[in-house]
Amino acid sequence: MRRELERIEVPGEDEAERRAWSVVSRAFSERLPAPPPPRRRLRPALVAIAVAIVALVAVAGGLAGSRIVHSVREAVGLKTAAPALTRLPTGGRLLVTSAAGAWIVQPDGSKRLLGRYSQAAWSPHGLFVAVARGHELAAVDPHGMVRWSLARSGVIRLPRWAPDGYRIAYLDGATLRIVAGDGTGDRSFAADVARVAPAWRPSATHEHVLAFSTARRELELYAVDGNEVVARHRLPAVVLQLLWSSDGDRLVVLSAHAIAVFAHDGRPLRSIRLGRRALGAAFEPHTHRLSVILGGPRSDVLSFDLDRPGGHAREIFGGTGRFSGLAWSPDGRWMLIAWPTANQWLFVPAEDGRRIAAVSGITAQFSSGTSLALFPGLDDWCCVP
Amino acid sequence: MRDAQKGSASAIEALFRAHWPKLYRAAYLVVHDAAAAEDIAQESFVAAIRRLETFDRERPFGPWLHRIAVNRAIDWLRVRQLRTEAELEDAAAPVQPRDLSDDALAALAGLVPEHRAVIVLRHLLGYTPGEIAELLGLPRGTVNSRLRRGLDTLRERLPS
Repeated sequence: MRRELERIEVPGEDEAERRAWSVVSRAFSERLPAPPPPRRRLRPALVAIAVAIVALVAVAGGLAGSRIVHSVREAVGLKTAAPALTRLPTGGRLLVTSAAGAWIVQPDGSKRLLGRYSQAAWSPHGLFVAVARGHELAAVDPHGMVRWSLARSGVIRLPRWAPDGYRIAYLDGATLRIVAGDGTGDRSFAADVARVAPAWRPSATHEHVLAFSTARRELELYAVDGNEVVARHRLPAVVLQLLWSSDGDRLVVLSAHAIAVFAHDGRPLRSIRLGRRALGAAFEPHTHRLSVILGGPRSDVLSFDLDRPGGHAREIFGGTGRFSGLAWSPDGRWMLIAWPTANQWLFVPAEDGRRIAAVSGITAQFSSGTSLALFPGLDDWCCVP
Repeated sequence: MRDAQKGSASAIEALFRAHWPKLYRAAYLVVHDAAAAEDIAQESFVAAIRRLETFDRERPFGPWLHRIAVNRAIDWLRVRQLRTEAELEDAAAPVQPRDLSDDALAALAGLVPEHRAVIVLRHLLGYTPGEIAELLGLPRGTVNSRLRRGLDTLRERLPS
Protein backbone atom coordinates (compact mmCIF):
# COMPACT_ATOMS: atom_id res chain seq x y z
CA MET A 1 0.00 0.00 0.00
CA ARG A 2 2.77 2.41 0.89
CA ARG A 3 4.42 1.80 -2.49
CA GLU A 4 1.14 2.52 -4.23
CA LEU A 5 0.65 5.78 -2.35
CA GLU A 6 4.20 6.86 -3.10
CA ARG A 7 3.81 6.05 -6.80
CA ILE A 8 0.81 8.30 -7.25
CA GLU A 9 1.86 11.27 -9.30
CA VAL A 10 1.30 14.51 -7.45
CA PRO A 11 0.95 17.42 -9.88
CA GLY A 12 3.43 20.29 -9.77
CA GLU A 13 5.45 19.06 -6.79
CA ASP A 14 8.54 21.12 -7.54
CA GLU A 15 6.69 24.35 -8.29
CA ALA A 16 4.55 23.91 -5.19
CA GLU A 17 7.63 23.41 -3.05
CA ARG A 18 9.31 26.49 -4.50
CA ARG A 19 6.25 28.66 -3.93
CA ALA A 20 5.67 27.30 -0.45
CA TRP A 21 9.27 27.80 0.62
CA SER A 22 9.10 31.41 -0.46
CA VAL A 23 6.06 31.94 1.79
CA VAL A 24 7.35 29.87 4.70
CA SER A 25 10.77 31.50 4.72
CA ARG A 26 9.21 34.95 4.77
CA ALA A 27 6.87 33.96 7.55
CA PHE A 28 9.86 32.68 9.48
CA SER A 29 12.04 35.72 8.85
CA GLU A 30 9.41 38.11 10.19
CA ARG A 31 8.83 36.01 13.27
CA LEU A 32 10.76 37.28 16.26
CA PRO A 33 12.46 34.71 18.50
CA ALA A 34 11.04 34.57 21.99
CA PRO A 35 12.64 37.24 24.16
CA PRO A 36 14.89 36.04 26.96
CA PRO A 37 13.37 36.19 30.42
CA PRO A 38 13.96 39.52 32.22
CA ARG A 39 16.96 39.41 34.51
CA ARG A 40 15.84 42.04 36.90
CA ARG A 41 12.83 44.12 37.60
CA LEU A 42 12.78 47.47 35.82
CA ARG A 43 12.24 50.54 37.86
CA PRO A 44 8.75 52.06 37.41
CA ALA A 45 10.19 55.34 36.07
CA LEU A 46 12.07 53.47 33.32
CA VAL A 47 8.95 51.51 32.45
CA ALA A 48 6.97 54.73 32.13
CA ILE A 49 9.61 56.24 29.82
CA ALA A 50 9.70 53.07 27.72
CA VAL A 51 5.91 53.04 27.41
CA ALA A 52 5.95 56.68 26.34
CA ILE A 53 8.62 55.97 23.69
CA VAL A 54 6.67 52.99 22.37
CA ALA A 55 3.52 55.12 22.21
CA LEU A 56 5.35 57.83 20.26
CA VAL A 57 6.80 55.31 17.86
CA ALA A 58 3.36 53.79 17.40
CA VAL A 59 1.85 57.16 16.56
CA ALA A 60 4.71 58.03 14.22
CA GLY A 61 4.31 54.64 12.61
CA GLY A 62 0.72 55.38 11.66
CA LEU A 63 1.44 55.53 7.97
CA ALA A 64 -0.90 56.39 5.21
CA GLY A 65 -2.22 53.51 3.15
CA SER A 66 0.11 54.03 0.23
CA ARG A 67 3.19 53.84 2.41
CA ILE A 68 1.98 50.85 4.31
CA VAL A 69 2.00 48.91 1.07
CA HIS A 70 5.76 48.72 1.20
CA SER A 71 6.00 48.02 4.89
CA VAL A 72 3.99 44.82 4.69
CA ARG A 73 5.13 43.52 1.36
CA GLU A 74 7.33 40.83 2.82
CA ALA A 75 5.16 40.06 5.84
CA VAL A 76 2.52 37.43 6.54
CA GLY A 77 -0.16 39.53 8.17
CA LEU A 78 -0.19 42.92 9.80
CA LYS A 79 1.22 42.93 13.30
CA THR A 80 -1.11 45.75 14.30
CA ALA A 81 -4.21 43.68 13.52
CA ALA A 82 -7.14 43.96 15.91
CA PRO A 83 -8.01 40.64 17.57
CA ALA A 84 -11.70 40.83 16.59
CA LEU A 85 -13.96 42.54 14.11
CA THR A 86 -15.63 45.27 16.15
CA ARG A 87 -16.85 47.46 13.31
CA LEU A 88 -16.61 48.05 9.58
CA PRO A 89 -14.70 51.19 8.60
CA THR A 90 -17.66 52.50 6.62
CA GLY A 91 -21.31 51.73 5.90
CA GLY A 92 -22.85 48.72 4.23
CA ARG A 93 -22.99 45.09 5.24
CA LEU A 94 -20.81 42.15 4.37
CA LEU A 95 -21.96 38.77 3.16
CA VAL A 96 -19.63 35.96 4.18
CA THR A 97 -19.81 32.19 3.73
CA SER A 98 -18.00 29.88 6.12
CA ALA A 99 -18.25 26.21 7.00
CA ALA A 100 -20.99 27.19 9.47
CA GLY A 101 -23.08 28.84 6.75
CA ALA A 102 -23.86 32.28 5.35
CA TRP A 103 -23.37 35.34 7.56
CA ILE A 104 -24.25 39.00 7.44
CA VAL A 105 -21.81 41.36 9.11
CA GLN A 106 -23.31 44.68 10.22
CA PRO A 107 -21.39 48.00 10.34
CA ASP A 108 -20.99 47.63 14.12
CA GLY A 109 -19.21 44.32 13.58
CA SER A 110 -22.10 42.19 14.83
CA LYS A 111 -22.72 39.05 12.83
CA ARG A 112 -25.86 37.07 12.08
CA LEU A 113 -25.78 33.51 10.82
CA LEU A 114 -28.48 33.25 8.16
CA GLY A 115 -28.39 29.48 8.06
CA ARG A 116 -26.38 26.56 6.87
CA TYR A 117 -26.06 27.78 3.30
CA SER A 118 -23.01 27.30 1.12
CA GLN A 119 -23.58 30.18 -1.31
CA ALA A 120 -25.14 33.60 -0.92
CA ALA A 121 -25.73 36.81 -2.90
CA TRP A 122 -27.36 40.11 -2.04
CA SER A 123 -30.51 41.43 -3.66
CA PRO A 124 -29.93 44.88 -5.24
CA HIS A 125 -30.68 46.98 -2.15
CA GLY A 126 -29.67 44.42 0.42
CA LEU A 127 -33.26 43.69 1.41
CA PHE A 128 -32.92 39.97 0.74
CA VAL A 129 -30.26 37.37 0.20
CA ALA A 130 -30.41 34.58 -2.37
CA VAL A 131 -28.94 31.49 -0.72
CA ALA A 132 -28.21 27.96 -1.91
CA ARG A 133 -27.40 24.64 -0.32
CA GLY A 134 -27.38 21.33 -2.12
CA HIS A 135 -30.39 21.23 -4.39
CA GLU A 136 -32.22 24.14 -2.78
CA LEU A 137 -32.38 27.81 -3.73
CA ALA A 138 -34.06 30.22 -1.30
CA ALA A 139 -34.60 33.91 -0.72
CA VAL A 140 -34.18 34.93 2.89
CA ASP A 141 -34.44 38.28 4.61
CA PRO A 142 -31.47 39.66 6.57
CA HIS A 143 -32.79 37.93 9.70
CA GLY A 144 -32.60 34.56 7.98
CA MET A 145 -36.37 34.12 7.54
CA VAL A 146 -37.08 32.14 4.37
CA ARG A 147 -39.43 33.98 2.01
CA TRP A 148 -39.52 31.29 -0.63
CA SER A 149 -37.51 28.33 -1.76
CA LEU A 150 -37.37 25.89 -4.63
CA ALA A 151 -35.56 22.66 -5.31
CA ARG A 152 -33.94 21.36 -8.48
CA SER A 153 -32.43 18.04 -9.46
CA GLY A 154 -28.92 19.42 -9.96
CA VAL A 155 -26.69 21.08 -7.40
CA ILE A 156 -27.58 24.76 -7.17
CA ARG A 157 -24.78 27.29 -7.29
CA LEU A 158 -23.91 30.91 -7.84
CA PRO A 159 -27.27 32.71 -7.59
CA ARG A 160 -27.11 36.29 -8.81
CA TRP A 161 -29.88 38.86 -8.43
CA ALA A 162 -30.66 41.20 -11.35
CA PRO A 163 -30.09 44.93 -10.62
CA ASP A 164 -33.83 45.68 -10.45
CA GLY A 165 -34.55 42.68 -8.24
CA TYR A 166 -37.01 41.05 -10.67
CA ARG A 167 -34.84 38.14 -11.77
CA ILE A 168 -32.38 35.71 -10.22
CA ALA A 169 -30.00 33.72 -12.41
CA TYR A 170 -28.41 30.58 -10.97
CA LEU A 171 -26.78 27.32 -12.00
CA ASP A 172 -28.62 24.02 -11.63
CA GLY A 173 -25.74 21.63 -12.28
CA ALA A 174 -24.50 22.79 -15.69
CA THR A 175 -27.81 24.43 -16.61
CA LEU A 176 -28.36 28.15 -16.30
CA ARG A 177 -31.84 28.90 -14.95
CA ILE A 178 -33.68 32.12 -14.24
CA VAL A 179 -36.43 32.62 -11.68
CA ALA A 180 -38.42 35.74 -10.81
CA GLY A 181 -37.43 37.57 -7.66
CA ASP A 182 -40.59 36.30 -5.92
CA GLY A 183 -39.71 32.67 -6.66
CA THR A 184 -42.15 32.21 -9.54
CA GLY A 185 -41.64 31.46 -13.23
CA ASP A 186 -38.51 29.36 -12.84
CA ARG A 187 -37.22 28.20 -16.22
CA SER A 188 -34.21 26.68 -17.87
CA PHE A 189 -32.27 29.20 -19.88
CA ALA A 190 -29.09 27.60 -21.24
CA ALA A 191 -27.46 24.18 -21.01
CA ASP A 192 -23.77 23.33 -20.70
CA VAL A 193 -22.66 26.50 -19.01
CA ALA A 194 -19.34 26.92 -17.22
CA ARG A 195 -19.28 27.00 -13.45
CA VAL A 196 -18.85 30.77 -13.34
CA ALA A 197 -21.27 33.20 -11.73
CA PRO A 198 -23.51 34.80 -14.38
CA ALA A 199 -23.40 38.61 -14.35
CA TRP A 200 -26.37 40.94 -14.91
CA ARG A 201 -25.64 44.21 -16.69
CA PRO A 202 -26.42 47.14 -14.37
CA SER A 203 -29.10 49.33 -15.85
CA ALA A 204 -31.34 52.20 -14.85
CA THR A 205 -34.22 50.56 -16.72
CA HIS A 206 -35.79 47.14 -16.29
CA GLU A 207 -33.85 45.52 -19.11
CA HIS A 208 -32.37 42.17 -18.20
CA VAL A 209 -29.11 41.51 -20.01
CA LEU A 210 -27.08 38.61 -18.69
CA ALA A 211 -23.47 37.67 -19.36
CA PHE A 212 -22.48 34.04 -18.88
CA SER A 213 -19.82 31.62 -20.05
CA THR A 214 -20.55 28.32 -21.72
CA ALA A 215 -18.66 25.10 -21.15
CA ARG A 216 -17.29 25.56 -24.69
CA ARG A 217 -15.49 28.72 -23.54
CA GLU A 218 -17.88 31.13 -25.16
CA LEU A 219 -19.01 34.40 -23.70
CA GLU A 220 -22.69 35.06 -24.30
CA LEU A 221 -24.46 38.31 -23.69
CA TYR A 222 -28.19 37.69 -23.73
CA ALA A 223 -31.25 39.92 -23.52
CA VAL A 224 -33.35 37.63 -21.36
CA ASP A 225 -36.82 39.12 -21.84
CA GLY A 226 -36.47 39.46 -25.61
CA ASN A 227 -34.76 36.07 -25.87
CA GLU A 228 -32.10 37.61 -28.05
CA VAL A 229 -28.36 37.09 -28.28
CA VAL A 230 -26.66 40.47 -27.93
CA ALA A 231 -23.13 39.18 -28.45
CA ARG A 232 -21.24 35.91 -28.51
CA HIS A 233 -17.47 35.48 -28.48
CA ARG A 234 -15.13 32.55 -28.37
CA LEU A 235 -12.79 32.94 -25.40
CA PRO A 236 -9.14 31.88 -25.46
CA ALA A 237 -9.04 30.66 -21.87
CA VAL A 238 -11.20 29.29 -19.08
CA VAL A 239 -13.18 32.08 -17.44
CA LEU A 240 -12.64 32.75 -13.76
CA GLN A 241 -15.03 35.61 -13.28
CA LEU A 242 -17.44 37.90 -15.14
CA LEU A 243 -17.81 41.44 -13.86
CA TRP A 244 -19.71 44.57 -14.90
CA SER A 245 -18.71 48.09 -13.93
CA SER A 246 -21.42 49.73 -11.82
CA ASP A 247 -22.54 51.92 -14.74
CA GLY A 248 -22.91 48.88 -17.01
CA ASP A 249 -20.50 50.31 -19.60
CA ARG A 250 -17.70 47.79 -19.14
CA LEU A 251 -17.81 44.01 -18.98
CA VAL A 252 -14.68 42.20 -17.85
CA VAL A 253 -13.90 38.57 -18.51
CA LEU A 254 -11.18 37.56 -16.09
CA SER A 255 -9.12 34.49 -16.89
CA ALA A 256 -5.96 33.22 -15.24
CA HIS A 257 -3.62 35.36 -17.33
CA ALA A 258 -5.74 38.02 -19.00
CA ILE A 259 -8.35 40.70 -18.50
CA ALA A 260 -10.61 40.93 -21.55
CA VAL A 261 -12.63 44.14 -21.64
CA PHE A 262 -15.91 44.48 -23.54
CA ALA A 263 -18.27 47.41 -24.10
CA HIS A 264 -21.86 47.44 -22.80
CA ASP A 265 -23.09 45.81 -26.04
CA GLY A 266 -20.45 43.10 -25.95
CA ARG A 267 -17.97 44.66 -28.39
CA PRO A 268 -14.41 43.64 -27.52
CA LEU A 269 -12.38 46.68 -26.48
CA ARG A 270 -9.02 45.43 -25.27
CA SER A 271 -7.21 42.62 -23.60
CA ILE A 272 -4.60 43.03 -20.90
CA ARG A 273 -2.07 40.24 -20.41
CA LEU A 274 -1.21 39.39 -16.82
CA GLY A 275 2.27 38.20 -15.99
CA ARG A 276 1.04 36.31 -12.94
CA ARG A 277 -1.99 34.21 -12.21
CA ALA A 278 -5.16 36.15 -11.45
CA LEU A 279 -7.20 34.83 -8.54
CA GLY A 280 -10.11 37.25 -8.42
CA ALA A 281 -11.21 40.78 -9.13
CA ALA A 282 -13.71 43.48 -8.23
CA PHE A 283 -14.68 46.77 -9.84
CA GLU A 284 -14.08 49.87 -7.80
CA PRO A 285 -17.60 51.37 -7.45
CA HIS A 286 -18.54 54.18 -9.86
CA THR A 287 -15.32 53.81 -11.87
CA HIS A 288 -13.83 51.75 -14.67
CA ARG A 289 -10.96 50.69 -12.42
CA LEU A 290 -10.63 46.99 -11.75
CA SER A 291 -8.85 45.64 -8.68
CA VAL A 292 -7.24 42.27 -9.40
CA ILE A 293 -5.58 39.76 -7.07
CA LEU A 294 -2.41 38.33 -8.61
CA GLY A 295 -1.17 35.21 -6.87
CA GLY A 296 2.08 33.35 -6.37
CA PRO A 297 4.29 32.99 -3.31
CA ARG A 298 3.27 36.58 -2.73
CA SER A 299 -0.13 38.01 -3.58
CA ASP A 300 -0.66 41.52 -4.85
CA VAL A 301 -3.74 43.60 -5.52
CA LEU A 302 -3.34 45.82 -8.57
CA SER A 303 -5.76 48.42 -9.83
CA PHE A 304 -6.15 48.57 -13.63
CA ASP A 305 -7.66 51.64 -15.25
CA LEU A 306 -9.58 50.01 -18.10
CA ASP A 307 -10.07 53.28 -19.96
CA ARG A 308 -6.34 53.79 -20.46
CA PRO A 309 -4.38 51.92 -23.11
CA GLY A 310 -2.63 48.92 -21.65
CA GLY A 311 -4.82 49.14 -18.58
CA HIS A 312 -2.32 51.26 -16.60
CA ALA A 313 -1.83 49.34 -13.35
CA ARG A 314 -1.24 50.73 -9.87
CA GLU A 315 -0.27 48.56 -6.96
CA ILE A 316 -2.61 48.77 -4.00
CA PHE A 317 -1.35 46.15 -1.61
CA GLY A 318 0.97 43.17 -1.49
CA GLY A 319 1.71 40.49 1.08
CA THR A 320 3.17 37.05 1.47
CA GLY A 321 0.94 34.07 0.83
CA ARG A 322 -2.53 33.90 -0.66
CA PHE A 323 -5.31 36.45 -0.90
CA SER A 324 -8.60 34.64 -1.42
CA GLY A 325 -10.98 37.48 -2.18
CA LEU A 326 -11.66 41.16 -2.23
CA ALA A 327 -14.68 43.42 -2.03
CA TRP A 328 -15.15 47.18 -2.28
CA SER A 329 -17.34 49.07 0.16
CA PRO A 330 -20.46 50.47 -1.55
CA ASP A 331 -19.12 54.04 -1.18
CA GLY A 332 -15.81 53.08 -2.81
CA ARG A 333 -13.77 54.30 0.16
CA TRP A 334 -12.46 50.97 1.44
CA MET A 335 -11.39 47.71 -0.05
CA LEU A 336 -11.53 44.51 1.97
CA ILE A 337 -8.86 41.91 1.21
CA ALA A 338 -9.25 38.38 2.58
CA TRP A 339 -5.84 36.95 3.51
CA PRO A 340 -6.11 33.28 4.60
CA THR A 341 -2.34 32.81 4.99
CA ALA A 342 -2.38 35.45 7.71
CA ASN A 343 -5.89 34.55 8.91
CA GLN A 344 -6.68 38.24 8.55
CA TRP A 345 -9.00 40.67 6.83
CA LEU A 346 -7.48 43.94 5.71
CA PHE A 347 -9.51 47.07 5.18
CA VAL A 348 -7.41 49.13 2.77
CA PRO A 349 -8.35 52.80 2.27
CA ALA A 350 -8.86 54.08 -1.25
CA GLU A 351 -7.24 57.39 -0.37
CA ASP A 352 -3.97 58.21 1.28
CA GLY A 353 -4.07 59.61 4.76
CA ARG A 354 -5.81 56.69 6.40
CA ARG A 355 -4.30 53.60 7.88
CA ILE A 356 -4.95 50.06 6.82
CA ALA A 357 -7.18 48.41 9.40
CA ALA A 358 -6.45 44.72 9.91
CA VAL A 359 -8.46 42.14 11.83
CA SER A 360 -6.96 38.81 12.83
CA GLY A 361 -8.49 35.48 13.86
CA ILE A 362 -11.07 35.59 11.08
CA THR A 363 -11.52 31.81 10.83
CA ALA A 364 -12.56 31.43 14.47
CA GLN A 365 -14.95 34.37 14.24
CA PHE A 366 -16.98 32.61 11.55
CA SER A 367 -16.78 29.02 12.79
CA SER A 368 -19.71 29.12 15.21
CA GLY A 369 -21.45 25.78 15.64
CA THR A 370 -18.91 23.81 13.67
CA SER A 371 -15.55 22.31 14.40
CA LEU A 372 -14.42 23.01 10.85
CA ALA A 373 -11.71 25.61 10.89
CA LEU A 374 -11.37 27.02 7.39
CA PHE A 375 -11.03 30.61 6.31
CA PRO A 376 -14.43 31.99 5.26
CA GLY A 377 -15.29 33.11 1.75
CA LEU A 378 -15.99 36.77 1.15
CA ASP A 379 -19.11 37.15 -0.99
CA ASP A 380 -19.97 40.83 -1.21
CA TRP A 381 -20.14 44.17 0.56
CA CYS A 382 -23.54 45.58 0.00
CA CYS A 383 -25.46 48.76 0.22
CA VAL A 384 -27.17 50.23 3.25
CA PRO A 385 -30.85 49.22 3.00
CA MET B 1 14.43 22.26 16.12
CA ARG B 2 16.42 24.00 18.81
CA ASP B 3 18.23 26.07 16.16
CA ALA B 4 14.98 26.89 14.40
CA GLN B 5 13.49 28.11 17.66
CA LYS B 6 16.54 30.33 18.09
CA GLY B 7 15.90 31.86 14.66
CA SER B 8 18.24 29.92 12.38
CA ALA B 9 17.05 30.28 8.79
CA SER B 10 19.08 27.29 7.63
CA ALA B 11 17.50 25.15 10.34
CA ILE B 12 13.99 26.07 9.27
CA GLU B 13 14.91 25.41 5.65
CA ALA B 14 16.22 21.98 6.61
CA LEU B 15 12.95 21.26 8.42
CA PHE B 16 10.96 22.49 5.44
CA ARG B 17 12.91 20.44 2.89
CA ALA B 18 12.69 17.34 5.06
CA HIS B 19 8.95 17.53 5.64
CA TRP B 20 7.45 19.31 2.62
CA PRO B 21 7.37 16.44 0.07
CA LYS B 22 5.46 14.05 2.31
CA LEU B 23 3.29 16.79 3.74
CA TYR B 24 2.22 17.97 0.30
CA ARG B 25 1.71 14.40 -0.90
CA ALA B 26 -0.34 13.52 2.17
CA ALA B 27 -2.52 16.61 1.74
CA TYR B 28 -2.97 15.83 -1.95
CA LEU B 29 -3.93 12.22 -1.29
CA VAL B 30 -6.55 13.36 1.20
CA VAL B 31 -8.06 16.25 -0.80
CA HIS B 32 -7.22 15.21 -4.40
CA ASP B 33 -6.79 18.83 -5.43
CA ALA B 34 -3.27 20.10 -6.08
CA ALA B 35 -4.01 23.78 -5.43
CA ALA B 36 -5.85 23.00 -2.19
CA ALA B 37 -3.09 20.61 -1.10
CA GLU B 38 -0.50 23.31 -1.69
CA ASP B 39 -2.51 25.81 0.36
CA ILE B 40 -3.10 23.30 3.14
CA ALA B 41 0.53 22.22 3.38
CA GLN B 42 1.84 25.77 3.10
CA GLU B 43 -0.58 27.21 5.64
CA SER B 44 0.16 24.32 8.00
CA PHE B 45 3.86 25.19 7.86
CA VAL B 46 3.13 28.87 8.46
CA ALA B 47 0.85 27.97 11.38
CA ALA B 48 3.56 25.71 12.82
CA ILE B 49 6.14 28.49 12.52
CA ARG B 50 3.85 30.90 14.32
CA ARG B 51 3.69 28.47 17.23
CA LEU B 52 7.34 27.49 17.14
CA GLU B 53 8.08 29.06 20.54
CA THR B 54 5.46 26.94 22.26
CA PHE B 55 6.60 23.71 20.66
CA ASP B 56 8.06 21.13 23.03
CA ARG B 57 11.32 20.26 21.30
CA GLU B 58 11.55 16.97 23.15
CA ARG B 59 8.79 15.80 20.83
CA PRO B 60 9.19 15.14 17.09
CA PHE B 61 8.24 17.94 14.70
CA GLY B 62 6.68 15.72 12.02
CA PRO B 63 3.62 14.46 13.90
CA TRP B 64 2.85 17.96 15.09
CA LEU B 65 2.95 19.28 11.53
CA HIS B 66 1.05 16.30 10.14
CA ARG B 67 -1.72 16.73 12.69
CA ILE B 68 -2.21 20.36 11.60
CA ALA B 69 -2.19 19.46 7.92
CA VAL B 70 -4.37 16.35 8.06
CA ASN B 71 -6.99 18.04 10.21
CA ARG B 72 -7.03 20.97 7.80
CA ALA B 73 -7.35 18.60 4.87
CA ILE B 74 -10.28 16.80 6.48
CA ASP B 75 -11.94 20.15 7.23
CA TRP B 76 -11.40 21.23 3.64
CA LEU B 77 -13.05 18.06 2.36
CA ARG B 78 -15.98 18.39 4.70
CA VAL B 79 -16.58 21.95 3.63
CA ARG B 80 -16.27 20.96 0.02
CA GLN B 81 -18.84 18.24 0.57
CA LEU B 82 -21.09 20.77 2.26
CA ARG B 83 -20.73 22.84 -0.86
CA THR B 84 -21.41 19.70 -2.88
CA GLU B 85 -18.83 20.52 -5.45
CA ALA B 86 -17.07 17.22 -5.37
CA GLU B 87 -19.04 15.41 -8.01
CA LEU B 88 -18.16 17.56 -11.00
CA GLU B 89 -14.88 17.22 -12.78
CA ASP B 90 -12.87 20.10 -14.10
CA ALA B 91 -13.68 20.19 -17.80
CA ALA B 92 -10.33 21.76 -18.56
CA ALA B 93 -8.28 18.98 -17.02
CA PRO B 94 -6.17 17.23 -19.64
CA VAL B 95 -6.95 13.59 -20.31
CA GLN B 96 -4.02 11.36 -19.44
CA PRO B 97 -3.47 7.66 -19.92
CA ARG B 98 -4.42 5.65 -16.88
CA ASP B 99 -1.86 3.64 -15.02
CA LEU B 100 -1.76 1.88 -11.71
CA SER B 101 -1.25 5.09 -9.75
CA ASP B 102 -4.40 6.53 -11.37
CA ASP B 103 -6.31 3.48 -10.16
CA ALA B 104 -4.95 3.93 -6.67
CA LEU B 105 -5.86 7.60 -6.68
CA ALA B 106 -9.35 6.87 -7.96
CA ALA B 107 -9.85 4.15 -5.36
CA LEU B 108 -8.67 6.48 -2.64
CA ALA B 109 -11.07 9.15 -3.88
CA GLY B 110 -13.93 6.75 -3.26
CA LEU B 111 -13.29 6.70 0.49
CA VAL B 112 -14.91 9.09 2.92
CA PRO B 113 -12.48 11.81 4.14
CA GLU B 114 -11.98 10.25 7.57
CA HIS B 115 -11.04 6.86 6.09
CA ARG B 116 -8.80 8.49 3.51
CA ALA B 117 -6.95 10.43 6.20
CA VAL B 118 -6.19 7.39 8.35
CA ILE B 119 -5.06 5.39 5.31
CA VAL B 120 -2.66 8.18 4.34
CA LEU B 121 -1.40 8.58 7.90
CA ARG B 122 -0.90 4.82 8.30
CA HIS B 123 0.42 3.80 4.91
CA LEU B 124 2.14 6.92 3.55
CA LEU B 125 3.39 8.59 6.71
CA GLY B 126 3.90 5.35 8.61
CA TYR B 127 2.11 6.13 11.87
CA THR B 128 0.85 3.34 14.07
CA PRO B 129 -2.88 3.19 14.85
CA GLY B 130 -2.09 4.40 18.36
CA GLU B 131 -0.20 7.40 17.03
CA ILE B 132 -2.99 8.20 14.58
CA ALA B 133 -5.49 8.05 17.41
CA GLU B 134 -3.41 10.56 19.32
CA LEU B 135 -2.88 12.79 16.27
CA LEU B 136 -6.55 12.98 15.38
CA GLY B 137 -7.92 12.86 18.91
CA LEU B 138 -9.83 9.64 18.24
CA PRO B 139 -10.26 6.37 20.18
CA ARG B 140 -7.86 3.74 18.94
CA GLY B 141 -10.74 1.41 18.12
CA THR B 142 -12.20 4.03 15.80
CA VAL B 143 -8.88 4.35 13.99
CA ASN B 144 -8.62 0.58 13.62
CA SER B 145 -12.13 0.25 12.25
CA ARG B 146 -11.58 3.12 9.80
CA LEU B 147 -8.35 1.53 8.64
CA ARG B 148 -10.01 -1.83 8.19
CA ARG B 149 -13.00 -0.46 6.31
CA GLY B 150 -10.83 1.82 4.19
CA LEU B 151 -8.48 -1.00 3.22
CA ASP B 152 -11.38 -3.35 2.46
CA THR B 153 -12.85 -0.75 0.13
CA LEU B 154 -9.50 -0.13 -1.54
CA ARG B 155 -8.93 -3.84 -2.10
CA GLU B 156 -12.32 -4.15 -3.75
CA ARG B 157 -11.60 -1.27 -6.09
CA LEU B 158 -7.95 -1.81 -6.91
CA PRO B 159 -7.04 -4.30 -9.64
CA SER B 160 -5.20 -7.24 -8.16
